[in-house]
Amino acid sequence: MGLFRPLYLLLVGVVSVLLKLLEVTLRVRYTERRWRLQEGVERLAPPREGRVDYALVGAVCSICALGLLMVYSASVTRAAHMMGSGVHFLRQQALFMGIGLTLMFFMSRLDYRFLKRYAWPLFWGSFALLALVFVPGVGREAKGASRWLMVGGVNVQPVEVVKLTFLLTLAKLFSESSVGARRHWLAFMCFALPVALLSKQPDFGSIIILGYLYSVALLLSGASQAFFLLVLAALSAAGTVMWFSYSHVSRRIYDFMAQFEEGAELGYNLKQALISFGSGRWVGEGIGRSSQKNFFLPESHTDFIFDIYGEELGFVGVLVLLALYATVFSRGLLAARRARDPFGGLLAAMITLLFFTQALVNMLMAVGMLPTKGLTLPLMSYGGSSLLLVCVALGALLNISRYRPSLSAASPAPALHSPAPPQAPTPHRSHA
Amino acid sequence: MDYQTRTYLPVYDGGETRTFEAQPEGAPPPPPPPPRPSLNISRLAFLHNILLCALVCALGGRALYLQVLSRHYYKLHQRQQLSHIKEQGWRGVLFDRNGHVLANTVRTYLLDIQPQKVSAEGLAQVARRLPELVTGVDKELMRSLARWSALPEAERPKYQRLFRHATPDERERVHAELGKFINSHELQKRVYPKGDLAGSLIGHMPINSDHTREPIRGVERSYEALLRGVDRQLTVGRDSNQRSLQLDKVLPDESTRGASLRLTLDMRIQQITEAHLNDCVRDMGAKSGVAVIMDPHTGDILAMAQAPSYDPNRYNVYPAEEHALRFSNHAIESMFEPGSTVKPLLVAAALNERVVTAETMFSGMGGAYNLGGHKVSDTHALREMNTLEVIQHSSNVGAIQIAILLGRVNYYNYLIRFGFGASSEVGLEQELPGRLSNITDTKHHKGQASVVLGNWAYGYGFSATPLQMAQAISVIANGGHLVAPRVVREILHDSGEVEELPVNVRRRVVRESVTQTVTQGLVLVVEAGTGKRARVDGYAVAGKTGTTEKFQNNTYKSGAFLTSFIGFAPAENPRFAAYIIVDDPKHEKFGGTVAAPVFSKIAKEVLPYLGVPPTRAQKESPRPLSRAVSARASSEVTIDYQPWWSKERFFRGDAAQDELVPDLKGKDIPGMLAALKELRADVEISGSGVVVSQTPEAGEVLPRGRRFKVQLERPAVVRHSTARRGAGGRFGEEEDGDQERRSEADEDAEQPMEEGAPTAPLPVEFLRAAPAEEPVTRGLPPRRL
Repeated sequence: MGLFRPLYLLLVGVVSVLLKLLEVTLRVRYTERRWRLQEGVERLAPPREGRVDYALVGAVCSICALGLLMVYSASVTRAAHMMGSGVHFLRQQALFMGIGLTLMFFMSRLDYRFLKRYAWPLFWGSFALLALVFVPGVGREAKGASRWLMVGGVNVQPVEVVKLTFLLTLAKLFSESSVGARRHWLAFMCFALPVALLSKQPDFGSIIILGYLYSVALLLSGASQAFFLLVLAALSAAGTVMWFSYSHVSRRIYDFMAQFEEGAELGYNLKQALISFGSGRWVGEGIGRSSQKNFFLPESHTDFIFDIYGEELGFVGVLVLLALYATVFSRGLLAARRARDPFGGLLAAMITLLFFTQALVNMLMAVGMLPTKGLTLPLMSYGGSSLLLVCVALGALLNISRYRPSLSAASPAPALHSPAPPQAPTPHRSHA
Repeated sequence: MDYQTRTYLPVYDGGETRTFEAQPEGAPPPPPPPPRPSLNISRLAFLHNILLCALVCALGGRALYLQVLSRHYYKLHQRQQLSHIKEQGWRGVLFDRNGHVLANTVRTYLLDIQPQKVSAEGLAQVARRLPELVTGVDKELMRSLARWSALPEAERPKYQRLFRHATPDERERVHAELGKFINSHELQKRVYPKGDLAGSLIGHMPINSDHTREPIRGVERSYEALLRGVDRQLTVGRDSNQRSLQLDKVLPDESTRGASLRLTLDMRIQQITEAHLNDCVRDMGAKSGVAVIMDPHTGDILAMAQAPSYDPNRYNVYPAEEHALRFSNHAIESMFEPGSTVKPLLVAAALNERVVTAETMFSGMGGAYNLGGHKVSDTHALREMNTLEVIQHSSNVGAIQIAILLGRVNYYNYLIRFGFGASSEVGLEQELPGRLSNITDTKHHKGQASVVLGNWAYGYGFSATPLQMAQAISVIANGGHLVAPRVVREILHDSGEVEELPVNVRRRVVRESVTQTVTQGLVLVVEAGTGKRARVDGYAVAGKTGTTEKFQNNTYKSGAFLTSFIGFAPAENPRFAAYIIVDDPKHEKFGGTVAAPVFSKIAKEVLPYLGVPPTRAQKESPRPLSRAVSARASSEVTIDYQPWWSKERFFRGDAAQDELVPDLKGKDIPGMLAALKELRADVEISGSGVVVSQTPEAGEVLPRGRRFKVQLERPAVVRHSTARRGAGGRFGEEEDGDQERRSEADEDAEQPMEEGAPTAPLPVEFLRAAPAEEPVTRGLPPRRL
């Protein structure tokens, strides 16, 4: 325990803070019906600019703290073996986390409408970065795919930037008043251009994420159901083509399906991941006491950090982490719904969805419910560039969340409780 | 107010103003707002719920299943994280009766390397340095390593064993310098410090493919359960490269150590016996020879020698065709027809049944007896002879007559009672029972029962192991008891508890007076009969020779002989009984000329060694011990048993080089030996009494050869050694009476002679008291006469 004692005390503190936060979180209305109830309140008193959502900040910081802890625990033997110092990855991650949290703070102070103005330049810039991957000397090829850029000794995946600028552009397009086919064409172009480059890399995971963001934007921006389904069908068709044209995609999915057959032997990574996760039992082996990280589980501090987390903190710890991510998710969507303009709403919703979906997919992969694909657990996994970008995105989300309802949901306007308030607007009913 | 009423309300009304204005009553409703780009709340909520459901149900449920409900992966985890290191128990030590180590276990290390995981420089470094750090490394292997270092990693072998018997020191050095490349594993090695001494009795332990050792022969095999200790399974965590994570974790050794055994063997008697037996087999051009020396009173096997024997340390150097000859312990695994050596037993049985007396006269029958058509002749034809003369001249004719008087059934039963046809209970696994068909079953012998009886009278028609013969003659020597031979005297448990094995007196076979009569006959054999060459100057020896034609190729006329001698000495108060058999000597063919001299030579050295004073006037001054034997015998200084952890036991061999010579002056023999005990020094003693001079002088640096010469002189009045010797016991008994004479003998002899260790002798009363339980005639058919 010796080495981990201070960290353990820190965790105890974090957990007790979390429990307090859960109380806050539970007040969130999870159903549409409740939301609409609150909506009436907000119509009475529109959100006003206030402080950032502290529940959101608390959850994000807790995940960051847990992430730092787990990166250290999961990487210590590997770092000692590869780098000669057990704290190598911890030091890197702490550095990036410091920068990231600073960026998050600044972004939370920066009016998000600033982003709307620079959406297009940002998008083209990130697209150029993505194209740079193919330029020899700058781009780096690894494992048969060229996805990385070497920037000052740091590997950057431009697609991470593209994801953000892509959703920024979509939010801008779908919130603008200009109605009509033009924005759909523009949105499709924003989607198709990176996808063309990504399929050259190839990086199908990112294509799927972009497609997911695209459909979510369509869905949330109120596009008609017919149009949405049309786009969805087109994406599915593209997926089918991909399935047949790239053997390794289908093979990976076949492999994934094969594991559910009787007596099937799991792939090494997944088997080790499940062994790691499954040996956590109720409360885990204790922080720092995972034995799977001793070279059994590859990528233990990046893609499979959730398994190490599950092994060290057990089912209870997993529930806590899920609650934290759920908190970020719900508070993020709450911020989206409360945003003072459609751009903010869409942006917040898509940032939250990107963040949460990525976390969800990573965790599902880690427990063997989705085919494994190099996808990090946001805020937890080791990785500098993605951490910075997630922090920037969450900073924007925090800025959007500054707009709070002027009336608390806990004390709604007395008028709402009157049996038949004369001022209740019933326009549609009368039309029906 | 119903929330339904707001279902279709737009949430964002442009983002500028969201103030609510009450509509005046009765006014027309405002037109529906134009479709504006906005966030679709119902779809957002849908996504929210779906994803949260996925999180809670899929992920939470899966986590619950994997972590809590299913134990599958937990078990897999246990299996792959923990490696079970099996380690054999630490094998116990074999001591001779005086505490000399006959077999010991030492720690060695197996060094190996995984060439694929070692850099090229590492391999080159190992190839260069390892032969300097560890002696005995295969040079060819080192050249291979150097060659591999030039190869790409994938083309190198995965695993290579480098050396199996690295000492702890060497392992330390290797670990310090090449620890990054070389792994070491603890092994045990069994060493036999005395080389081929009693090799076929002790046995050896071939190595298995998994580096464990299993005994296959001898004491090592028979007492495996005691010696081997507790195998332990060490469970340690490991990483995916099979490296143990708790390298320093060592379980307490106590739990794994096996018991040590203190054998009845006396190293010096064994050396003496082996030396003379080897000489005889070599000089006579014999095929092999076996000698068993036994304490007739306790059954202790003092020596169990065979020629040729083998060195258990180097069991693998002998060619396969010699394995049966060298590895088998012929004293228990080979059966021979005893021949004339059985005649004393026949006579003892007849005397005990009172069918004859010592004076009963038998006809010489012209030197031949017609036994069922076969002529059985004597080598020395006599006109007539009494019972003792039958033994003295080894008369087959007389023996047949005695056997007929005794009767078929009686003789068979006596042979059984003398221990033939059954295991001797010596406790060695390989022991054979001998072959003794049931003569009382007349059908079995097809009417030839009388012929068979006649054959048995002079020792043909049944066979016995040398050990059984020694056991049988011990009956005569100890006054009529069948004492089971034993090779293990004490079991020294790891706990420190010492378990003494009791003397196993199995039954009384004949009356004591009978044994005295037979002993007279046996003394006659040596004094004036066929065994003259077994004589030992100064002592009365009882013995009987035997010469058997070997039954080979279905005939006794093969021209090959088994020559044997059975006997004990001194005749009046036997200290050891012996059976010696030499198989197929080329240059002589009689027991009296081949085996009897061996007995004489052995007895000449063993009797003084046992401290038996001469009982007869010596015709000539006894020769000193043969040079080789005395050197070997005197090089060992008796130590008492000490537990394995004692400093003496473990560091005796590692004492600093420049030890100083202790002052021995004024010490008597035991005191001197005690002082020299830890020095492992040779000592040549001349004179008796207390030390008056010594070389090297006290205070000098101990010379390399560790050889001492001391001159002893008797002080004027002091009776120095009686106090030390325990009361009771044979030692004490003898010495009380013979002290004076013995000391004189010592002075006369001036031969190197040391005390045996103060072994706990069996009280004489014990032997005398035991037989009462079993009357002589019980179980025997009624006497005929």
